[in-house]
Amino acid sequence: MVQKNRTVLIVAIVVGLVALFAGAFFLLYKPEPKGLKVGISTLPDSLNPVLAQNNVGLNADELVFDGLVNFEIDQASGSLISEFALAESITQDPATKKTYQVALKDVAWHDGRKLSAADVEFSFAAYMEPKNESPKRAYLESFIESVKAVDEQNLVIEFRKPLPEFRAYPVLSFKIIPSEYKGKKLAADLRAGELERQFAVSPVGTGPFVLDSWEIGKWVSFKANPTYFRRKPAAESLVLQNIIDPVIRMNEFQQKRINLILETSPADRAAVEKMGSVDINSFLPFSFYQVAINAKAPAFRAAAARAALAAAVDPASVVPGITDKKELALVNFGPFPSNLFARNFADYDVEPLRDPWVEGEAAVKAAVADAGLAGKTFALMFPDSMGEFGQSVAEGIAAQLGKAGITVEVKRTGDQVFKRLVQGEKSYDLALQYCDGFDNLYSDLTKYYKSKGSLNIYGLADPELDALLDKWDATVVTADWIEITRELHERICAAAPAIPLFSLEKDVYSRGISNIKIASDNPFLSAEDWSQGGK
Amino acid sequence: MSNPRNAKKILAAALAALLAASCATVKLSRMQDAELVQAGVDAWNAKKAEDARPYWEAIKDPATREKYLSSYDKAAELDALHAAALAIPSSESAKQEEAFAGFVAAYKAFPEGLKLPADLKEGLRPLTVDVAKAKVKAAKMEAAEAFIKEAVAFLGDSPDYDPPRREMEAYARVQAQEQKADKAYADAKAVEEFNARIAAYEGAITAYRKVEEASAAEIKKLGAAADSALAGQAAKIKRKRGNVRIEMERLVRDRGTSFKERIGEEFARVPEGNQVGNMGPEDILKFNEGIQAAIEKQYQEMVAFGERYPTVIDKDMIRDIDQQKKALDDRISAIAAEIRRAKDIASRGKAAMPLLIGLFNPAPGSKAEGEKSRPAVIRGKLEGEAAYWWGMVSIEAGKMNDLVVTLKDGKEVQVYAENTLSGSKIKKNKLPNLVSKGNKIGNSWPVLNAGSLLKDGQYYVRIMANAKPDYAGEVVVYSSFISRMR
Repeated sequence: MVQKNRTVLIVAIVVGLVALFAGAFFLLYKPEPKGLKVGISTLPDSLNPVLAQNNVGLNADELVFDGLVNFEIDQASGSLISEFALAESITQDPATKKTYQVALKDVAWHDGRKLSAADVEFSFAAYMEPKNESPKRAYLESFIESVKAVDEQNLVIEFRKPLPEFRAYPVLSFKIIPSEYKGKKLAADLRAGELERQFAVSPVGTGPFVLDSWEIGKWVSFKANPTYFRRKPAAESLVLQNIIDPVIRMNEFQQKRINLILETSPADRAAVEKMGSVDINSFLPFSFYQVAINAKAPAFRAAAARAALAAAVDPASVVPGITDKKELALVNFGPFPSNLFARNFADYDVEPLRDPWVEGEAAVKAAVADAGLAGKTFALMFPDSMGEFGQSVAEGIAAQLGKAGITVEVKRTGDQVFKRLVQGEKSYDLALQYCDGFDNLYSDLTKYYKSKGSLNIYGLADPELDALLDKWDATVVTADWIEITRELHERICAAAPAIPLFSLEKDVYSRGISNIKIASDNPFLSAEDWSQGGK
Repeated sequence: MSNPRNAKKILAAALAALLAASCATVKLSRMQDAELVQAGVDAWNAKKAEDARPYWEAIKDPATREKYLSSYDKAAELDALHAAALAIPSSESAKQEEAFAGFVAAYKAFPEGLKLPADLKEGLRPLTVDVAKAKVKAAKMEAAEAFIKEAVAFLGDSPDYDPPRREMEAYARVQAQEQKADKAYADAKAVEEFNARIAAYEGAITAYRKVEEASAAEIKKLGAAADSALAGQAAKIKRKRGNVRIEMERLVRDRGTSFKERIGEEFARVPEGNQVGNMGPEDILKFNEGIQAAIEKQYQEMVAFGERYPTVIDKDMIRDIDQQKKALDDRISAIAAEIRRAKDIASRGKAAMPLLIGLFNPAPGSKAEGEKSRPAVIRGKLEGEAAYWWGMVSIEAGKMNDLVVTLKDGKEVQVYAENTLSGSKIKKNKLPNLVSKGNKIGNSWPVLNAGSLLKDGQYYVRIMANAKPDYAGEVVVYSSFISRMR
């Protein structure tokens, strides 16, 4: 009898626990959102376009916000073009050619409030607010003297110099944010209060998609904005699904559980082509691979030692079959991709940046010996997310440095460990980096090479370089910009914080999406055209 | 025990006194009020003030009795006012003036016929002199004069008032001269002819200087202090002279700058109305020579002005204008050379005006004068499939400037670096259209890096026909700016 009671009690407890867990599961469980799914390794860190953001955040801004002018993909040529977005018209004053009158479209924010000229004036003030440390501040301030609302629908933008329309419109592509949020005025200092901080993670925009849900570490989902001024997006919803491991990401894609992969490896191309029903958009991104050299490591304290490492690596030979193919790889020899001028100033016949490194096996070996690196052993780390291609690159570099008399041990680490050791503790010798998220002029290089730059993992601390980077950031006249860029190239090459490698053509894989056209690092430029279906 | 004899004597004396008092009381009660007043006044004026009291106390009319009996209090009050007035330091002249007025009022309210100590009034004279000097020092001359008059009326005149009176007279003499100089300045402002106006300003400045000299003489003569009204007056006149000089110099400077501005405007002048597009080569040369002549005239005027006012037209300004003249000479030389190729030019199409443009700069007279250039104007009516225009650009070597053709409507624009012979060479010689299609926005047709692409410094525009025959637009050279995109 006692035994029977005990059994009943145990069964009751088990049933109770099961019921409790099931209840908790149903209460806490959030089903994965449906829609077009984009597999990405990192979720946005913020959705406030005024503040500094990670690459995914910058891309996601495109879904939620608009500028007076938006960049769009020209479906015919695949190139970027600027189109009026929130602006109904932009008219240049014929006398001064500096003053532009802007009339706004009749557009509503996601919360139903009407877009007004005051919102545009507020947005500009927010970009200019020093406390926001907006990455766009120096650029915008160099062009624009003032933005003033005339009435509800009209505003006047005063540029600092006479400017033709085709130069003015791209400047006016900065994203417009609302001056009011949840019925209250936002402060221009967008780091100031709770309301402003809420805005960064639960924003209200005018863009084609409305933020729907944000599950930390899992996904961010967006639903179509039915009143979007261009047209209602063809897809009902779009989900940024966080999948860190590139192998799992590719497997999910193969299993058709995600529709789009943005972070890809050149090594995957053959396997993807075999999958069938996959659209491949290829373009040369504004990004590059390089090997960071830790200048704090005793062996690399001297710039000559770092320069010897850079000279010892021939980027084209790192991964035969990929990096030596000119149609796939652009070999770099400094902080900027080597096609910087040709790509941006094709019409201006600008002399390319100089390759500063010593050439020839004997000269390289001599430089390595002079720097005291011969016979030494160093570790070259790369993160898991670079996958097999990262392994191939790291091994290729190790082999080349081996020929120069330096032993390099390749170490593959988890992304978090890599981040901690390289970015956090800066406890590394050499680290393979994929640097992306740039605009066409690589403006964010300031983050990499300023003494207190958020991405300065090299141990560089040069006040004169800081001043030159600040000057560069605020320079907008082409001839001046090119001249300062040359100075930067020379100065950074002299400091040799990294072994320059290459930029690789990027493949973006999609399936089950119609009308998709991706031609730049910003994949969502024409996301309202995408529809579920297709291959 | 007291002595009985002494007691009798005391008693007798008391009775005598009582009798005398009784007799005196009887006597006063028989006197008339007027007699009592006079008897009291006599006693007061004999400096036996307390002897007056029984008489005045016996006055039957209450008002009269009160009037005279109050004299004791009023005399005491006057003493107090006197002492209080003398206690005020000379630095507080407003309080001194107020105390003096209070004393005068109290003094006048004192019953007539009763004498007061002579030094009671006279003792306040230094105070009145202090007040008068303070008013003069503050340049309140009318108030000072009125006060002295008031003091003299009460206290009588005195040589003590002479120093403030002398300073007031000197001040008035200088002021009269100053007013004449003011008038000379006002008259100068009304003169229209520039040189005569400047001469009149000089006259006014001289007049002020003379007033300053006169003022200095007065100060020296009187030994006036540095903080005196005369010194303040002298400083004011000096300031006026300085202001007039500043104003005159500004007029001269503005005049000098206006030469530069007028020359700048002339430099950028565009033919009026429908002359644009309808000028032959000789007309263009003539137009530019007209500009040259006008600038030369302005220049000569400026040089003459510079000789007269060398500090205003300095070497830098002359150098700037010389550079501008040289630029114009170069322009005319270039145009003349072009005109010599008349047949070629005739085949180029219509000439955009100004024929030669540089980097656009909207601010006439700005520091960047050398860069000043207005847009070249294109205007006409299309006949046939296209219209052809040409013009010249001056872009400094190495400057990555852009040339932008903007029309008021959407007609297609093509730009070439050489003469297309009304389009016939385009296909035959495969001439490249220099318009950057990727950067074309609206009705603006940009040619990037125009300085390099337009090797001969000439541009040739082809405007393609559409439904509307009329067209108008402009050609502008801009600095090249970067565009960030992602």
